[in-house]
Amino acid sequence: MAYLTNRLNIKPRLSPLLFLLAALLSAPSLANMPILKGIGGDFSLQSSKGGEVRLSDFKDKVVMMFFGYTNCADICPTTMAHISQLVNKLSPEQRARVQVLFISIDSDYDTPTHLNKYLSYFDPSFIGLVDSREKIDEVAALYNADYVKLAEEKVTTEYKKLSLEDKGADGKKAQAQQGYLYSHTAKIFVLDGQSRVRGFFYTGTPLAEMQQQIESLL
Amino acid sequence: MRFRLLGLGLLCLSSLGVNASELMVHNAWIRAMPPSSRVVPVYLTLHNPGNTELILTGIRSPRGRIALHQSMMHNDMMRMQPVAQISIPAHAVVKLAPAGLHGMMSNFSSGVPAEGDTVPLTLILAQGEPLKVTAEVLNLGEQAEHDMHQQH
Repeated sequence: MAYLTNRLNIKPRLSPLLFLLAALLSAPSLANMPILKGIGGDFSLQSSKGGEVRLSDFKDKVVMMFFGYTNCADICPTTMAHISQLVNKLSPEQRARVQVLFISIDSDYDTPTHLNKYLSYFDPSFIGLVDSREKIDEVAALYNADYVKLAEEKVTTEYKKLSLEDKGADGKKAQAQQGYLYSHTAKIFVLDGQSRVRGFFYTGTPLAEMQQQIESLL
Repeated sequence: MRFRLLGLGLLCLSSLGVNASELMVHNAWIRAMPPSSRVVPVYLTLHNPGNTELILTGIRSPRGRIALHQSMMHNDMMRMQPVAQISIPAHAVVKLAPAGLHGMMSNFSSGVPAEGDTVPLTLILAQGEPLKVTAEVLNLGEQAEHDMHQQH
C-alpha cells in the first residue's frame, strides 16, 4: 500500500500525459487503412443468390471477403459468426453499405444453393460465391489466397489410425468417412468502395477494432 | 506401435492411483449449424487438477462420429490437422475452443444437432474410466467470443 501511494505521488501528472500521447499515436494508425498495391482485381463468379456477380457490382460498398468451404467445422463458421457479430454492431445505414462475400474454395462440393443455406444461417445478407476450379483459382491468385487440399487418402488414413486406437469399434465407419480438409488463408480481405484492398482482419481481430476500421472506410 | 505400448506402460507406472474422474470438464458446447451441414465443431474445457498428466484419446457420441482436430495459423494460412490425442498436463487447463483444438463431428446418426439440443459425449482417456458429459448446442457468436478472448 505504501508502495502504491508512493508511486502515485511521484507520477501524478505524467500518466494522463502518456495516455494522451498514446491515444494520439494509436488513433490514426487504427483508422488509417492504406491502399495495398499488387493485390486484388475484379472477377465474376456464380452467386448464392442466383446468377453471376462481379466484384464491381459491389462498388460503393465496403466488402469483407473470406475464402473458405462449408465442410469446415471450426474456422469458417467461427469467422462467419465473428463477421456477423460485427455486422450486427453497425447501424442499418452502415450495414446497407457493407457486403460480406464468402468465396468457396471447395468447388467439388459447394454449390450456390448449398452456400445460400449455409450463409443464410449466419446472416441472410451474406453472399457466397463458387464456380469452376479454374475460375476459383484465378480469383485466389489475384488475392494471393493460397489454399491446399489435404488428400482424402491422407485424412482417411488418419481416421483409420484413430479408430484402430479405439480398438476398431468404429473402424468401418471411419473407412467410409469421405473426410478432407483444406488449408486456406486466414485473412478476411477488406476492400473499400472502389474495390481496392485496404487491409485484412482475422478471426481473432477484436470486434471494436474491426468496427472502427470499417467505419473509417464508409 | 511398440513405442506406443512402451509409452503406455510407462504412463501406467508413473500414474498409479490416478483416477480419470479427476478430469473436470466445463463448458461443453456444439455450434448450431445449418441442417445441411456435414460437419459441426465440438468445444469444451478440460481441467486436470491432479498431479499426473491425462491424455484425451477420443470423444464419442451417439449423435455422430467425432475426430480430434486442430486449426493452426502458420504464415497467414489456417491449417486443419487431425490430432491423435490431446495432453492435459498436471494442474493445467486445456481448451477445445474456436480457432484451435476442437472436435469435428460428422456422420450424424439423427441429423445435425439443432440449437437447444443437448448432445451426450463420452471422453475416452488413455487410462481410467471414460467420462460422460453433455454438450449444449448454441447459436452463433457469443460463446465463441467468450472462448476466444477469455484467457485461463
